[in-house]
Amino acid sequence: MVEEKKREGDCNPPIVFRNVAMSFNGLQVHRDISFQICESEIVTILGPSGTGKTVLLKLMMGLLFPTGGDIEVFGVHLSSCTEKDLQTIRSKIGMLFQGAALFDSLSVYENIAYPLRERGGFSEKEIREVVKRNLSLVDLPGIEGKYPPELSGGMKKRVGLARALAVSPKIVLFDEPTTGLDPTSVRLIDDLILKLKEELDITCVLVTHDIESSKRVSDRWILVHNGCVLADGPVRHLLEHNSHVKNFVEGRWNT
Amino acid sequence: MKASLLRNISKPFYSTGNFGLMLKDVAYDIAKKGVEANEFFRQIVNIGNRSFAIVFLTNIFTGMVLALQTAYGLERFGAKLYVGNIVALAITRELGPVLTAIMLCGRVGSGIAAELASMVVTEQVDAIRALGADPIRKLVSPRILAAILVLPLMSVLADFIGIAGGGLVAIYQLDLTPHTYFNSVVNFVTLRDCFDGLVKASFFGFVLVSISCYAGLTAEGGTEGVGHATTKAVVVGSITILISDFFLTRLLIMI
Repeated sequence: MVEEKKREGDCNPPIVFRNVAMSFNGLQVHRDISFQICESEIVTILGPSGTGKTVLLKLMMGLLFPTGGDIEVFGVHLSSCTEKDLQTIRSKIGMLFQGAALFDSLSVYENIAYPLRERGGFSEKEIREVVKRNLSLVDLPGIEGKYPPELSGGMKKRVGLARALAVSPKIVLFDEPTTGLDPTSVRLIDDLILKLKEELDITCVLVTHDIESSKRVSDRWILVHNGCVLADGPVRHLLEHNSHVKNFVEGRWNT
Repeated sequence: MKASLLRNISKPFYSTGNFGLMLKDVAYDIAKKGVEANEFFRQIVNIGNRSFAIVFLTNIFTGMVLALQTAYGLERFGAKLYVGNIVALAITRELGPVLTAIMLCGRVGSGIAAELASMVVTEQVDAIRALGADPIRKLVSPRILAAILVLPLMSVLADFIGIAGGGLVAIYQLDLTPHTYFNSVVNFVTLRDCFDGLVKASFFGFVLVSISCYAGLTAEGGTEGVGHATTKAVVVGSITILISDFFLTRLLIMI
């Protein structure tokens, strides 16, 4: 415990999971999940489909609450938070949802402007600048007037990312950021994730099945299975020394 | 097995409790922050636009058939002249608000439930929370307030159309003069009758939209969940309207 505290202190972790358990309608998804995410780190959570990886992202964001254990985000225990506290925490976190979760009734411009308007204190000129800058960042300039149903899946994801970055978050959570994208878009997202870390010091947590993309960007992998963490460590180290990870990556996973 | 049975038994209580909590949040939100004007007016237009044609058709034919049926019965006592009284009273006190609410439950309630359920399954509701907004404030409060305002307006419209429908039959089929028919309407129906009808309509608006919002927001399980939520909204909404109609009528007669 002391050692764990020391380790946490060393890397200044903005996210700490301690023995987290989660169940839905009596179905146990997580039994004992413990890990920490360090500042400016890119971590990928891996695992077979249905192991609750997206649930872990939603737990970090305070969109779901664990049935056991403790989650600490920016030093605050989420279990003791009011909705107002949670909103403060969420304002420091951006999330790219699996299907982008853009609001169909709003234009691309309004979608990206949405978190800025909710937070308040931004003039229309500032909002316009942020929207323009973020759309350029995801290589989609000039589509402000389009609506989500007019966009392809890949474009939606990139607009979703532009929206997640609108409020300059300290952590960005990516739920399947490259699924369904063409190789050029995958490369663009990968480069963007690396840029977030290198230039803006943003901590990134990814959930993905795209191993190649994850190898390219991640510092660390966490392999989740049967509600527990099976492996947690630097990517290269796990690939060389962990049989679970090697089997998973090579498609020889035996559930 | 035992746990599953227990869950099924406790489900209605759990749902009722959660529904109550949602209404508490709505009341708190409206009392503390008011309502978002743009969304409120958008919902007024939405609910009114969606239901005008259906309210017109339902009530004109109800008025017509009511005139035919009452004339058939009253003719035996030589009291055909009183058709206008009965049609007007039945429409203003009962059929106008109830039929309007039932039709809107199918037309508007199902639409709201489907829209919100789609937002839930595509993670748009999670995105609203993640972006620092409150789904109750954004999605529920404006809809409930709009329905409370629009239903009485639609009910007034239904009253006029229903009485006019009865008039068509009275004049062209029962050979009453327009003067006789409309005189019996005006002389018999009091302001109190109209007021009671409006109170009912407001209450039904609140009931049908709050049930639809709850059904939509608690949807689970992809597109199938959207279907379930829609069915639930219409079935539970219609039944609740009919049951509460009896108690509300009893209460309004006592006052």
